Amino acid sequence: MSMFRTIYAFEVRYWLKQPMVYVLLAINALLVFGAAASDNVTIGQSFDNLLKNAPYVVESLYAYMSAVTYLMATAFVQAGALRDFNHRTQEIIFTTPLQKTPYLLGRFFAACTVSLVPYLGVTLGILAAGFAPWVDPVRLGPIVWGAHLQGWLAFAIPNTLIVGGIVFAIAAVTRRTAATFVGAIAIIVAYSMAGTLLGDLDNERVAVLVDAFGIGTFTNLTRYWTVSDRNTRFLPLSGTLLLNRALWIAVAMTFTAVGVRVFRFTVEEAGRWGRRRKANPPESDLEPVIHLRGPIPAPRLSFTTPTHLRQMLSQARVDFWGVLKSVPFGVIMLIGVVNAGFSLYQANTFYGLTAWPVTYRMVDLIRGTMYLFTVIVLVLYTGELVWKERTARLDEIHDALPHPIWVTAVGKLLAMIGLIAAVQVACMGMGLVAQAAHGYTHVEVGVWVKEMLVLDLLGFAFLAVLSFLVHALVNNKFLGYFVFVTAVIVNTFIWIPLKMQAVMVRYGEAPSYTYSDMNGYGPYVAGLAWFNTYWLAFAGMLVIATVLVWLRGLDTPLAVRRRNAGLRFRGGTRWAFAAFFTVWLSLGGWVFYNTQVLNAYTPTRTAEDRQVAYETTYKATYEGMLQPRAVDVRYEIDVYPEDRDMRSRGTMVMVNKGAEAIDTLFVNLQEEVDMEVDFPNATLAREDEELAVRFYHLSPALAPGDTITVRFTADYISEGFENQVRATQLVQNGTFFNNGFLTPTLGYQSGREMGDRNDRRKHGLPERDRMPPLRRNCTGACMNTYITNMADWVTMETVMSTSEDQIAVAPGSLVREWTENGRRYFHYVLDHRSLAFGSFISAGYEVKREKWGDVDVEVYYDAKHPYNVEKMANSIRKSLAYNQENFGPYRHKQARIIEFPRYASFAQAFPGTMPYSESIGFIARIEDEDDIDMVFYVTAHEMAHQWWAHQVIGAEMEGATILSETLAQYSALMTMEREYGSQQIFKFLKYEMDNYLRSRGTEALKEKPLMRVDASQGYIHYRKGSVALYYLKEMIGEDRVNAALRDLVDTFAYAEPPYPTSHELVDRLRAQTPDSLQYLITDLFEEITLFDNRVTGDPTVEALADGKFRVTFEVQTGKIRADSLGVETVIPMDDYVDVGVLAQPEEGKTRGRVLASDRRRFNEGQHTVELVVDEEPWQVGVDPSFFLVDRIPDDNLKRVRGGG
Amino acid sequence: MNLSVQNLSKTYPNGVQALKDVSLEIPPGMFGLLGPNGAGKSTLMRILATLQDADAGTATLGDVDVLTQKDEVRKLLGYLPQEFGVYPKTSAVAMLDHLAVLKGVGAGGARKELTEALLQRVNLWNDRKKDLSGYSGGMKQRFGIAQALIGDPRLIIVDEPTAGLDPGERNRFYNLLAEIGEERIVILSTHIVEDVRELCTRMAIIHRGEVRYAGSPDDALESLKGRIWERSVAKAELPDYEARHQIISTKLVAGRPVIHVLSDDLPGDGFAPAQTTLEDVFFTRIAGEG
Repeated sequence: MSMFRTIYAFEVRYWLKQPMVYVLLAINALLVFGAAASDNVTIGQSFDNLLKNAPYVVESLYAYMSAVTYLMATAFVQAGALRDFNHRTQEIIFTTPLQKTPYLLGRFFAACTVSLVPYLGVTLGILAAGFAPWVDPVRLGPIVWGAHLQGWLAFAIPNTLIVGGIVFAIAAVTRRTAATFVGAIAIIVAYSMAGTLLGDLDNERVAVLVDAFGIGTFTNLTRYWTVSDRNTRFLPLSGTLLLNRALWIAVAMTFTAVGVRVFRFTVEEAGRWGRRRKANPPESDLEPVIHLRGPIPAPRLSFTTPTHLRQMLSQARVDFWGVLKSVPFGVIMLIGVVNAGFSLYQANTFYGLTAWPVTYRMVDLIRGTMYLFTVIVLVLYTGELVWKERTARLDEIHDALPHPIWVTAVGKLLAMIGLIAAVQVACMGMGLVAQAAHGYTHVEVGVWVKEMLVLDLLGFAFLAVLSFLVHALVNNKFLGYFVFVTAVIVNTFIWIPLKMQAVMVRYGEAPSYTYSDMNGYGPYVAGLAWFNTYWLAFAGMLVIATVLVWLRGLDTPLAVRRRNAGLRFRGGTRWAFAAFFTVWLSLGGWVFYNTQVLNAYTPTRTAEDRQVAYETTYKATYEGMLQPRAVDVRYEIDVYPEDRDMRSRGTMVMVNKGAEAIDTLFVNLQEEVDMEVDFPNATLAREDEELAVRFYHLSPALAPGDTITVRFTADYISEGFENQVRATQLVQNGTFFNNGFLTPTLGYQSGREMGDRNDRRKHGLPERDRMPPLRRNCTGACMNTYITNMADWVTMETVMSTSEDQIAVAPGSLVREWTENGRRYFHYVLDHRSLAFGSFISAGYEVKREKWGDVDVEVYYDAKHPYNVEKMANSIRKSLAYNQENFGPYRHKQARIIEFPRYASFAQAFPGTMPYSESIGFIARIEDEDDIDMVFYVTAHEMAHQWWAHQVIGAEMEGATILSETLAQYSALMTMEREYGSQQIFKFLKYEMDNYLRSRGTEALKEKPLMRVDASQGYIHYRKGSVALYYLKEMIGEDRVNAALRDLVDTFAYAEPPYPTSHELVDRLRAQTPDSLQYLITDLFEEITLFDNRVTGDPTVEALADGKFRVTFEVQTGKIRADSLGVETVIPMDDYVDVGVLAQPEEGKTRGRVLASDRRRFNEGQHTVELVVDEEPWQVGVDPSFFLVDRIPDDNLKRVRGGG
Repeated sequence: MNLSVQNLSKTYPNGVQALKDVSLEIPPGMFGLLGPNGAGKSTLMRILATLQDADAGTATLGDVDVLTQKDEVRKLLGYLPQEFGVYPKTSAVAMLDHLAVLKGVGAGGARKELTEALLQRVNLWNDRKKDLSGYSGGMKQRFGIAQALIGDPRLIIVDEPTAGLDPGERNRFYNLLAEIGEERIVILSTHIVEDVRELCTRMAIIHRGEVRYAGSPDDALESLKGRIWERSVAKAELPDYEARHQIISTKLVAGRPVIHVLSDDLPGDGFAPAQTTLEDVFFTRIAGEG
């Protein structure tokens, strides 16, 4: 023991003298400080809505930093274990009378102890963030020391021991640093795989234990925490978390014990993964040295350029194979390939949905899973290659050979790029195999090559060039790694906090792009080409700089190297540099002209200032000022897809619907386009160019009921290329914009205000409600929908032209189509007055057309994506059927789904038209019967909007979206249930419930009851809305719900303002609800209500004489009210709750048949339930179908043990 | 073609003066550079091999300025450093081929012929496909000499080539060196006196960065002829003798110290004339005498 203590103390003292410890401490402190003090830096997840030092945030930071400190612990522990080998002192140490166990354990625990020092950075960083002057005091709470303590006990200490133990065992077995790091990387991969498993709901229970760092366990256990929970609570080390930690510490200690056990106190070299070197046969003194006398051939030496090129290639070849044959490279790449293969095999799932493995998705998967390892290899082996000759001690021979030095530097660079290219090709092969295996036969070699071997390879090449330069310059391998990684991190992360948007200052970066099956690289081609060429020229300069500073010979002093660099900078080198410099400078000028002058963009800061100025200048005076309202809109739009140009002319007939005359028009011009407006009898009174606002004076004033027709033009002419492509609405194939893009707006637009609460506070703007508070019997406040404040129901007519090979689609029926001057013209007229909300689309489409009744059902799709067209059409038909049956006639003569490129990934309902992104429904793949048919669902939801939004729409007020989104969810659920049965709905609702419970914890402001939902609270109006409406239907019946909704349509469809509020819906539902269930309306719509129902204890089963089974189990029930921050109060309960017994699920299913179910009225507390079933019971449950919003749904079911 | 070194000096950044005003004239043939560890031999050789720069002085090889026309020197140079390694997992033949390419041996056929001839010459033919890192010290050293012979170099520099070799390997190595050293300048640095005696026609002794002797080994021996005396003494007597005589070396013979002293006359005290060896020259010179 005393020996242990001596060694431990010696080791700790040794380590505390190492500067590395403090460097790492500083890095962690800075990282955490950044994350805790700024909203721009995030570790793991963003905590925008929480206190900066909320205990949950504190604990999370400890948890997430486990991943960061991971490699630090690896470094310390492996160094501790292997120091004697690496310093070749093993022969000295192992022959002293040290005992193995205390020696090893002393080192191990000392290394673990020291690994905790960098962790102090987490504590320091969080505490320091509290003093950062720019942190808003409102966002700081009291320091919760308990959270720090938990951070240490639950994460810092256990994770260090876990990493340490495993790394120690690997080090003991392999005795090699490289192998140990590879092992460490393998753990990270295993870890990320566990994370993937955790994403799948069914595996959660396993996954929370499998997570070696407990991070997933932590997020899982806190996933339903509300804002209030997160600001006040921390997760104590108990229950599942404790179990996880204990399990993993046990695993780690086992590893440590094994490590101690297998560690041999001998100098014998461990075989390189078991393979021993073959001993050389002893040489005999008598063996002749010279076999053949005679001259050694003396070929003429050549020192010409072809020779130099040959030398360069020889260097590249030798280095390429050298790396390829090295074990760490193979292992890291193998891990990466396994990791990527795993995800390619799985493809990703959303609502249990699979998508077709289109090429861009596969490339994205490879990027997400493989590139980390590719970058690791790049970082490691650029350093290795620069140091290769010196490490092998071949440098003296190598440097004294008569080759020019660029041969070495460029040869090595080529080797590195070649290696990455080889890896990319391997990944491509894997991706193609995976595509074939998934049955996707559309082989797009061109896309693969452009993505992986051009664009991404260029990115890697730029990194490699920089890394070589850094290593050549720094001339210290480890410092080189550090400098390079720092440079890359800085280049990645510094620009956003600096608000530097110009891409041309970010080394190696090009404008971000999105590949689309429909539109290829479309609008991004020019930018990608020019930026990459620009960086290639710059990289050329860096390569020359690398050659200049490349060390040759043994003199390392700076002065010598500077002189040598000067000596090398002459002749061809100087010319080459001048050439690259000239090209780079010219391209720089060209890029600058295109991205900063020709296509000048508004810097973020300016955009923010404008938002502030708009509000402070105009809100007080003009908000709510009476303006004329549009009643008829006509467009003539000419789209030139090949040039990405658009010219349009419009007229808008507007009526003064108010009681007073209007003499001032407040006009907002659309800033994205060149816009001109022309009002008759109007003079421009004031123009605010900065904010694109104009005031017109009307003379004579527009009397109540009078009409004015505004003419306007909106043009968008693309020129050159941009810093970041903005107008992705206008593209070569798949133009899609809505009327907002080309129509001026009248009146003060609150949508132009700054929205983010923290940004508002930073700019000294007052807090604002996201929507006006809900009021009953409103008139004046209900005059606008939440969509627009400048129109009610309008008629619309469009003539749209496009190129000859495309189809243009605008709202309404196609009345005429013709070709003129090589362009196609389409004339559309809206069949029924609608919201002033129209989409304009142009692309080369395949069209599926059919009639359903007198409605044209049409799906416009790209030829590459025929997969779900029939499903979409089917969903349209079924939706038309259900909704017409229950909610009145469909008012348009067509129902269209139109595919658009994946620059946006949503589906949206316009009158009679539903643009639908290529990336969601069109490549979704629903083959398994059990899968939720997302295509059917999304289409049904959008179709339902033709009633809920396009006939009945809420006033701009809290709860408005319940009338559109929640009711659309309800209609879609009903349509889906009719098509697929209730099992699918249960599955769907479970996802909805989970999404709601998770999302409420990350609510940025406050959670509101369903009937007061804000338009931005999707998790309430979609997710909770589904659950609530479906449960209400379950309790009072579909007929009663539909009767209420039908009445809503009859009253409000296409009605002039005032627009309905959520009261109109809730009142009608209440009227349909029997007295005994009135509480439901309150619980579901007016309050935030949750339940805490669970099965407690073990169920007992008694086999009865008649072959039946009596199942007895205990349930606990509880009901909770939550306020807007999630502060919960237990309230008395007298509610109907189902209890039931389920059978064993069939093969491949997760849920068994219901054997018995009973709806009982429960008070809060403990109850005994007894049910008799005909078959063997498998599970018992309280609220087994998850109708109720339950804090923890999972504990509603319990397996029957023994008897089952 | 001679290698002429004039007034070469080199000081390292840490203040160690490795070479002080070194001047040497090296004609074709084997030239031995003798000196104790740290004498500056390796620095001198690395300067001549273009791997380090001198602070002052000149060095010319024929009409090539060694210090500034490095590329020209490299074309004429064969260099075997004191310690060298090779790329891991690379066979002798692949390594030699790569080095030949870097040396400027162009066409594939001629290069293949050359590498094959060299490997046969140094008797590595049978092991040519083996991983070089598995070679024994002697084999590795023979590989080293093979690579130094690529391209028929005019100047061959071998730094401490026999360190770590067993006597058999050393013999074979000398045979090879002797053979190639006939019409080239071969500079052999060593701290083993025997090496020089056996191989070199000319030599220099360097100590603390200075040339202490330059000339032929025979002349050196001649200069000490009759001035070296030896005596076997008891260990306890050693301090006594050290006080009274100028001892140039002490070595153990069968466990008893045998001391050599330099003296023009018989020193008495039981000393007897000794056979003058190069080792005596060496010790005398580095002691700053003679």
